[in-house]
Amino acid sequence: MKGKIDVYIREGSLRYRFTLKRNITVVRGDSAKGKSTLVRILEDYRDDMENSGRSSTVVDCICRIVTLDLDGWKYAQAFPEEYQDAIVVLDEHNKFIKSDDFARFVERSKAYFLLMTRNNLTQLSYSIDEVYRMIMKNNEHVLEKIYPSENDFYVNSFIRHKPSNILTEDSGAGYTFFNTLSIECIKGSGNSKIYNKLEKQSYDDLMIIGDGAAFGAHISKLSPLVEKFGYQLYLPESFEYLLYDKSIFGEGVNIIKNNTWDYAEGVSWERFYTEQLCTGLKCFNIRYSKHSLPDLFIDYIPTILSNNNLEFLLDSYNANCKSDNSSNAKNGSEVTLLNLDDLD
Amino acid sequence: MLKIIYGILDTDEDFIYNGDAFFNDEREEEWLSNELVKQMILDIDKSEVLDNNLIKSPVLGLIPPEYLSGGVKTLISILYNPELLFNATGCGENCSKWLLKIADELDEDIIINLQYNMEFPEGPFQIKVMNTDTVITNDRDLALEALGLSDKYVNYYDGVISYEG
Repeated sequence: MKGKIDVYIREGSLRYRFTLKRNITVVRGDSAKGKSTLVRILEDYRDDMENSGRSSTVVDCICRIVTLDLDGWKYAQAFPEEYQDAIVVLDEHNKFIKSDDFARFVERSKAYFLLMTRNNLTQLSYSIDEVYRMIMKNNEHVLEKIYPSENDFYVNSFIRHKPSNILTEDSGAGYTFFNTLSIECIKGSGNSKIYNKLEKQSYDDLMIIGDGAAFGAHISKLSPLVEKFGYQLYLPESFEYLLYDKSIFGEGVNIIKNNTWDYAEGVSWERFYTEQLCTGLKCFNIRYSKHSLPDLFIDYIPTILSNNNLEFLLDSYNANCKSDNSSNAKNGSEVTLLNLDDLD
Repeated sequence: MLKIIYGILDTDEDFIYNGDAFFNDEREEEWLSNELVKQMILDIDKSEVLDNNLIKSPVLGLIPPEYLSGGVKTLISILYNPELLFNATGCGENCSKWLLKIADELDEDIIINLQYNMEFPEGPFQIKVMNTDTVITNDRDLALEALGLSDKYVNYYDGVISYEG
C-alpha cells in the first residue's frame, strides 16, 4: 500500500476525518478523546456489513479498513498478504502489538496501520511525525501531531546554533559525515542506544542527530532529557535521506522527497531512502553500506548541509578531512559522476 | 501511597491487564453512585452520571457505563479493587491526578503498572517507583527517574522486582 489515504467516518453525529501517509500511524494522548470509540464504530460497521450488507455508518475511504483483535490475530499472522490493500486498526488492549510477530506481520502485509497505543513499540520503525493525539476540530475528530517540528528540529530546539558536541545515531557513515566538521563527534550506535548514552552522561551544548523516520518509539524517552539539558534535536527522515541529494542525483530527488508517500510501498521511509540511495549509487558503480561513507560524498558535505537546514555548521567543515573508511566502490576503477536526469 | 511498576510486566500478583474489560465484567451497581467516581467521569469524559446505569455524554448522548472511556473505567476499577495490580497504560495523562486522589482516598497502597511515562501534576506528591525503590515527590524528578523503564521486561515475583536478560 502507498499514497496519501484520506479517511472520513460518520456514525450519527460522530465524525472522524484524517489522512494516513505512512505504513504506521500511532495515536495516543488523553483518555476519552474518541480513540476507542472509533474502533468500536468500525467493528459495528463490519458486523452490519457482514450480517445485512448495509449500515447507517458512513466509511469513506478508497481502501478497506479492518480492525484486528486477538480473535483475528492468528488468521492475520497466517495470511498477511490478505491485508496489503487495507488500513488495519488496532486498539490498545491487544498485547500482541508489542511482539516481534506483530513486527513481522507489519512488514509482510505491507498494509497501513493505525495503532491506538501509548506503548513505545520499539520493535517497529515508525516516524516521529506520525505520532498523534486525537482532538476535536469543527465538530470532527482529527489527528494532531504530538511532536511539532521546524525544519527537522524538534522539541525545544527551534533556535539553531553551532553546537560544541554532536551525537550521531549511527557509528558508521553518519558518524563519518559529521566527523568532518570541527566539532566533537560522539557515536550513538542506533536510535535505541542514543538514550542509553545520554542516561549515563550529560554533555555540554549537544546536538543529537537521528533518523526521524524511525524515531517514533524513542522520542518520549528522550524529550525530558532534551528539555532538561537544552540539547538540539535534529531528526531528518534518515541519514540516507540527507545523502540522497539533488546536487548528486538530480532534481528528480525533490519530487520523490516531496511525495514520498507515493513511492514508499509498505516500508518505513528510513528503509525506503536507504534503498533509493543504493539504487542511485549503482549508477556511479558505488555500493553503499551504512558502515562507511563513500568518498564521493566528502566533497558534497557543504552542499548537503546547506540543502538540509544545517547552514550554520558550514564554517566547521574541514575540507582536508577524508573518510577513515575506504569507499566500498573504488574497485580500482574511475568513478564518473553522472546526473540521474541525464539517464533514461 | 501510589506505587508504580514501570515496564512490560510478568508477575505472580493478581494482575489485571485490561481495566476496560474488567470494568465491563465486574462492575457493581453502586460504583457509579460514589462522589469521587462522578467527579472523575465529569472531568475525564465530560459526562454526567444520571443513575447507576445511565450517563449523559455531550458527544455520545445517553450511554450505558460500558461506553465510558477505558481510562476512567480503569480508574474506577482501581478505586474499588485496590488489592489488585492494574495495568494503567490505558489511562491517558488526564487520569494521572485522579490516580493520586484515589491513592489519597484509600487507606492502603495501590500498585499500578505503566508501560509508558505518564506525566503527573507538578507536585508535591508521593509516588514510589518500585523499579528503583525510590519515592519521588514532583513530576520532573519522576520523568527522569522513569526514563528508560517503561520499555523493559520486568518481573515482580514474591514482592521482588527483577529484570529479564
